[in-house]
Amino acid sequence: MKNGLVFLLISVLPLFGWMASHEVDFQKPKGWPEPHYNFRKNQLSNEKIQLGRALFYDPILSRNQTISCASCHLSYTAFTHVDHNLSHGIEDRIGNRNAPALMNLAWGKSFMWDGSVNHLDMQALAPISNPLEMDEKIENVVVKLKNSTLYPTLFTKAFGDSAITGERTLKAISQFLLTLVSANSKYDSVMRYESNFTDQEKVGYALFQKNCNSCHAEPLFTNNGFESNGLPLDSNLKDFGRMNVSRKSVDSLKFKVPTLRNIEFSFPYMHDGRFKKLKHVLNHYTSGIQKGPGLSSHLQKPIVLSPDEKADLTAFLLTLSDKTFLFDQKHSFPKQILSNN
Amino acid sequence: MNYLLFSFIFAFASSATLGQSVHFHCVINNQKLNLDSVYFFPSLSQYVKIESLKFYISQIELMSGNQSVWKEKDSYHLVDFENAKSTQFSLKPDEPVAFNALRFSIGIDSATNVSGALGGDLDPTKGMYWTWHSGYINCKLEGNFFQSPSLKKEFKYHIGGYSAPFSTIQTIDIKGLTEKNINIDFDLSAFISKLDLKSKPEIMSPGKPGADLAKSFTGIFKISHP
Ligand code: HEC
Ligand code: HEC
Repeated sequence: MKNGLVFLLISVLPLFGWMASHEVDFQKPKGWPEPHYNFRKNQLSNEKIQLGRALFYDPILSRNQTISCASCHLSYTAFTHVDHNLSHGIEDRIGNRNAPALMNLAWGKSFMWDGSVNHLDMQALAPISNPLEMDEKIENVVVKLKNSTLYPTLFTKAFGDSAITGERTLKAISQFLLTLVSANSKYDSVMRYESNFTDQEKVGYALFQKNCNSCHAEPLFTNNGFESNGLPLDSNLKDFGRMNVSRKSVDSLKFKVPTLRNIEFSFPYMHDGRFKKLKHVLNHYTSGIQKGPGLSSHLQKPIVLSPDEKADLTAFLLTLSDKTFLFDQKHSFPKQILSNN
Repeated sequence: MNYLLFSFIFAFASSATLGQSVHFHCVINNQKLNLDSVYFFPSLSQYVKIESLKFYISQIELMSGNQSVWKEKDSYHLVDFENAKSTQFSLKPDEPVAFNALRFSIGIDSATNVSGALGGDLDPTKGMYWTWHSGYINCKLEGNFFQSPSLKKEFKYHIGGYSAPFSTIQTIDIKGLTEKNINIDFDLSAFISKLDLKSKPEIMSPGKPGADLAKSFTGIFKISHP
């Protein structure tokens, strides 16, 4: 019987180890739609989120240990690559698209400007293996993590044993990305009746709802669809967007509608970063739209905005800045974990 | 306690004896394939060397006539001819079933393709996942072909894609099974005859060429006659 007890203990011990990881529930902001991400297949826990955060900030994911996810996605700029129209990767190789801001990814249905990534878990594979970005293989990342002094411990804390697999690595990165929720801008506090728009912001909000909300739909400020907003093709990059994925000509020049949250910080704008300022974006919508066969039905009628109205609309767009999100220490470089290594 | 342990072991043993093994063989020019050996194809007047052949087998069912009598749960097997162990696995019905046919798919279904990160044979470290355009590679065939060694050229066929109209998963029926242990040939010569080595030596993404080629899988799997 004594033996039996020991046996019982040994067999449930790993279970306790696993239970010691602290599960957390995803907090859906009030009034927001249900997230698209299936949390039942990847239950959040503090330990997994911390593991994902370490991976996000660790250049170990790149071939020569120089580039981390954060090299292109900086927290203080809504996780975009500020000041670079096209992102810079390993050995300063220049990519062919602008790094999008990372936030509210739990509601995303597909990722990348053309939707080529079908699930958040699979997202990290793209930059890891892109020769212009991290130029590494996930097989090799797993080997490097196994050989490191740090990660076997972090994986054990997160998953209950030290097995390091592609699946676990990707799921942990997803967990960190899922915590990047921006829902505390001035706009949000107005929606929660905690503050008020200025008169100018109010006018801007009305203009936004009339002209922009069909695609940049509240509260996420994207409808997650693919649309052509009338940008002419860049003849050097020759990027046809969604068509590269769907192989359908009707999708030519369609790109995923980006969120406008934290738009103040995520310049330069558009998939190729062609506009440096919001002013240029608004000028595009009023006078730059190219009428091609694929132009969205929402933009068939010209958008007319006086200079004053442009200022009002801009004032509204600035209410989407969320300083709590940008400066949240939980999203920043994990000093306690990474600095000793 | 001892009794418990005993019955535990016993249960294991009996379910193992119930299982039937499935073994895939790759046959080229009527011989068992050796990776990195050179084979001559008179019809192409080319030499061919295979460096790698891997594919996913999924959705396995034992059939009695046209009737499904047992379905494997979590049915995903990566068969890689570089790794002999992976070419053989056993099916473990809870109780004995009478069957005379096997149904399976070559490739990964679309629901699994959009399920995020998965483990085991589906782990993305297995080299069977497209990183820049999410989705599993259902079958990978890589090697060289040449008329003379100095003219050696590479070929790479990565066949996959799960969305219409270029879905590549194919259902295969193997009928007339008489033995409990199932041996299936992948007729690589027949498959190579479908390839356009000279003018299209690479398929590396989902689309029409891959989807067309995938259709030929139905004639490639046959009962082994050793
Ligand atoms: C060299 C710069 C670079 C690195 C390094 C990089 N990214 Fe990105 N990221 C980009 C660019 C550029 C895009 C947009 C690419 C496209 O649409 O084709 C992007 C897109 C994304 C998206 C999609 C966002 C959306 O809304 O569609 C996510 C999520 C993301 N990256 C996460 C990561 C993670 C996680 C890592 C580390 C494993 C990483 N990135 C490393 C530049 C980079
Ligand atoms: C037809 C749908 C549609 C409408 C209506 C629309 N947009 Fe856009 N918007 C898009 C798409 C699609 C993109 C990305 C285009 C690209 O990069 O090729 C975009 C990009 C942007 C960007 C750049 C975001 C970034 O992170 O780079 C801003 C800013 C923007 N839109 C603001 C507006 C404003 C303001 C309005 C209203 C005046 C508006 N949009 C109306 C579809 C739309």
